[in-house]
Amino acid sequence: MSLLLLLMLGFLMHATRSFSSGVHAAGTSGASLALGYVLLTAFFAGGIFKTMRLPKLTGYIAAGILVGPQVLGLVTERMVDQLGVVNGMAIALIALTAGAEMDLKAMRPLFRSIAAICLIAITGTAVVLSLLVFALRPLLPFFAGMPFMTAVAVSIVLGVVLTAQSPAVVVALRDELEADGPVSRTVLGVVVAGDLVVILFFAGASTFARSMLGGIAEAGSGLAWELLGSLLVGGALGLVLTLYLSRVEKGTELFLLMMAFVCAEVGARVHLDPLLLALGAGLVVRNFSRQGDRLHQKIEASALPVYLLFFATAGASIHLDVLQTVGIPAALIVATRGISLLSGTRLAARTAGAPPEVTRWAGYGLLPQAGLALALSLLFVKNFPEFGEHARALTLGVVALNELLAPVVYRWSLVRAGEVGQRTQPVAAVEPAPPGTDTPAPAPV
Amino acid sequence: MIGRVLLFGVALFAATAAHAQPASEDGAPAPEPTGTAAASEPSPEPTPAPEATAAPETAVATPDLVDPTPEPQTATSEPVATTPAATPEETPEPTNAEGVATPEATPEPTTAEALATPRVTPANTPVAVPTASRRKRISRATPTPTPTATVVETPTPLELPDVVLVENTSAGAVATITSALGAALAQPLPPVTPEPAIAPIIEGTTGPKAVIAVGERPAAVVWTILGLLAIAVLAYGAGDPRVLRLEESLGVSQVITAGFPFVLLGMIARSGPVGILNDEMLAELSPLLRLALGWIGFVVGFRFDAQLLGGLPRGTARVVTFATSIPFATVLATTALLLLLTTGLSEASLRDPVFLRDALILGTVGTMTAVTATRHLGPAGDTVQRLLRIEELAGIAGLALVGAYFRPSGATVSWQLPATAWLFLTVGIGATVGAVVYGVLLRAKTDVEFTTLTIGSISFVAGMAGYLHLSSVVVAFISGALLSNVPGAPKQRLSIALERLERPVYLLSLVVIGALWDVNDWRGWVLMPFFAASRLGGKWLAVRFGLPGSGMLLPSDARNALVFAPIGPLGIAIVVNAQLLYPGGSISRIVSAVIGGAVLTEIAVQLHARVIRERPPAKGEPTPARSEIDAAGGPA
Repeated sequence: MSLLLLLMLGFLMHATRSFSSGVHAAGTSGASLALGYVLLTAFFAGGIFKTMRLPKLTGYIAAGILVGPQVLGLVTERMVDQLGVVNGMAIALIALTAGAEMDLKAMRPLFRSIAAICLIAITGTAVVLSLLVFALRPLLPFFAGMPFMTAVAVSIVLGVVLTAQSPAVVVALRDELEADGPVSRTVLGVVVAGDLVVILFFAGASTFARSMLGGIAEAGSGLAWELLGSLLVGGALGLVLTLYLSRVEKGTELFLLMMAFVCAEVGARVHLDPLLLALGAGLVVRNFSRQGDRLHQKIEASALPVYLLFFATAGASIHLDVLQTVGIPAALIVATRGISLLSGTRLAARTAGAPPEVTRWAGYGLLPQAGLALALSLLFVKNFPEFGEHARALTLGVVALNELLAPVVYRWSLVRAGEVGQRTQPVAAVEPAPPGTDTPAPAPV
Repeated sequence: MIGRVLLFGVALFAATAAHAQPASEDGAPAPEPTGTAAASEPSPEPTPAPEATAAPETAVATPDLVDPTPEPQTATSEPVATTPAATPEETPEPTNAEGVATPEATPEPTTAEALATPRVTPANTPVAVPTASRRKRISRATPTPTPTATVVETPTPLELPDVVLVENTSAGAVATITSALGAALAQPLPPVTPEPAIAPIIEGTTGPKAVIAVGERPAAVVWTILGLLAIAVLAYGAGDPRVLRLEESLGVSQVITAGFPFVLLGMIARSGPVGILNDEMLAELSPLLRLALGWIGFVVGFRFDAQLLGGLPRGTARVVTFATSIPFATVLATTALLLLLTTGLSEASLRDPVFLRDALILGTVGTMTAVTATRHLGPAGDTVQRLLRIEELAGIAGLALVGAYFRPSGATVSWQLPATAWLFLTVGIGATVGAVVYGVLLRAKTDVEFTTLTIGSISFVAGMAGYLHLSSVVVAFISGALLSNVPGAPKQRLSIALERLERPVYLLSLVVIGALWDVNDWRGWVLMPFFAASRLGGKWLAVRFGLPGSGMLLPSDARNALVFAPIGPLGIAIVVNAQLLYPGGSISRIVSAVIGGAVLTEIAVQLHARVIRERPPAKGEPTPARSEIDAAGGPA
């Protein structure tokens, strides 16, 4: 039945699209059409993937790829662009969810593990990938004729970009599988902290590389504003949100949507990271007020359409064609990144004395990639217009592969870790473990 | 007088319904398919046979008037104003409604011309000619060229004015008007470039987002946070009992409940000093506006249960006919008068399809009444509510007709169809998508899934309609009505999902509507009081003359509700939808008139309600209970 509905929707979409003879003819009504079509198609594709014991969000991404401009072309590139605001709001809501799930008090026992994984696995992977990119120079045409030191600097920047994780995928899978436990909580903490680390590294490496090429990178000058500013402004937004949640009964969903819109749109215009903005807001609500559960509950109701749109649009944005040109280096990088993150996480977890399940399975949660890597690669293009577009093809190829494969692997790891279906109430309700222990309290069943 | 007004309205509807204008998109030729979408579509035929389009449609619309004798050639060969595109050899610069040159000029023959040309040959086409002796054949008035058209000696493709019924000595004036209307319908709309204010929501924007300068960023951030804080404080204040009491005492509570502060918010956010809702943001919010229009249409359709028509009190048909046709006619007449006065009483104005379209839209909106007006009516509320629900059909029908018969300009479409085909397509698409949505919604397991699929379905319906330049409100209405009346549909869950999101979606769309509202055009403000007054006057006339003969007994507050009820969301949705379909020229004045008129009516309703509350009940005033109403009316 789902397949039949998918076919019917596809037929209607095709028929409608045949009305317009020009690419831009439909104006913005195409965005509304694409919004509905993507929502419905991704929903049914997710259902089909679920019956195949695959993550629903992989189904959403696959649906996006299939109907997007690269395969069937039912959703055009312009439509995908027009859905940008929805996408931005989705990222903000996902980050708000992540922030609202991060009860620092409850996560305190995991801090050592999180710090160790960030230091060893993420930093180590950035180094390994930088070396690998440098070694793969003969396979990457944009390195041709580049001076040695410049090539080193560019390799470092690309290594950092390719290390980025995806809080969105982690949060979405956590919600989809209703997973809870030390693995999922550690992974959430690591990917959020890892994002900060990667942005920090990117800014430093980018400035270094730009100076090698002559000039000062914009990323370097705006680092403090983007990182600290985002978190501080996010904190202020969190206070406003707390005020609303505690004082006003009605219209919370509307206010949340408005907040997400502000994070996505205003953030982009003043060079604040929407993800960090919303994360900061969520963290403040969760950790400095009693409104965390209410916020979580309100966001949860809107989580499904947000995930559907975000991942399907991400799928539609994947440039499969770049895999033809950078397929081999991208596959090598994906494999090396995976091995490095897995082994680095194991080593870090052992060093920090983390529980055995964290040691064994947490590394898989660091594999997914999506928004941050794409955003950084766009920034890379801006900072290095000389060869940025060619280098971007490489990052797009790696993200495409990780976007498709990594959620499947992380789902499998959560199943094996026994954390699927363990969430019966918001994370914040979990009592923290006694201080000094590294083992969190078991999740209530 | 009333009879003439009525006749005018009926004639206009008849003209619209009977007029199967075989128009292409603005009369422009089917463009050469370009791009992937067009490449996948079979090459469109821009010159469908006229016998298969115009003539049969006329015959269908007025079957009793069809004379099997072929119309003599000369009867339809008088000069008619056509678009410049119809005369390729001497193509002048095409103009829009304001006479501004537009870039859509094309030297190729239009579909209208292609359709008109074969009419010269004496084909065996049935032509509508009155057969009854009392029906006078109205000779077509000599057309006066409008500023936007070129007069050429080509036969008219349509012969609608020939079938207008005139039964008295005042036929000449009415016939002239209807003749002009027919001529107006025969003309394709001139191409119009969207106004700058609304262009972003029609065309979207491309390219990277504008970035605020480094030095201005902290200030922008501070203002944003303060803005959100202000909204939070206002939301808190709105729920405070003292504020509610103050609103009540000022008589603005209903205005606030109706969401008009959100319109104000949009206006402020769009204004220069604030400027948050700039072109880029408006473009990005456009899916929300279309979703809202679809949502309103879907909700209205979903509430149109067939059971609504069962067990109606006697006289319902009369009351509804009066309640829709008289306000329609009064608004239409007022608009026409205003236009004639401002254009020097020139008949040419009536021939202008843009004027006719705008008048039809205003008239249609004028018939609308908010169903919320029945909230405090007690037992009679149910009856009045059903009447108003049936009235909504008139609004939907009016918008459907306008959407089908006044196709917007632009040579960017592949499908070249006659106007009546667009009407059928509107219904067909609504029904087809409604059937698919039925299947889609049955797959939802949880409430969250159901809500998500509902949002997706309505967005899809609205987007599809918008993509085809059809009314999102109408197509979504048909889908909603289908779901409401199909057995086995998850009606209760759908009702809950629709109600849950109806208000947030509507209020957010009001912000966008406020941002799009061009308040600088004084003509809209001039039109506004006339619109509001003629609508109220029409409603009063309808109740005054429609109720007594119907046998329906309604208490005074119910009668007042029928007269003084506000316009409601559907009326606003209709005019905004029209603005999306025809984004330029005079339409912004209509929007000003309707939104301003809606606020004005809300305030008038409040004031009237206060007067009524403070007035002691008149002795002997009937306040019948429900049983009495049923007994008086009885099932129809």
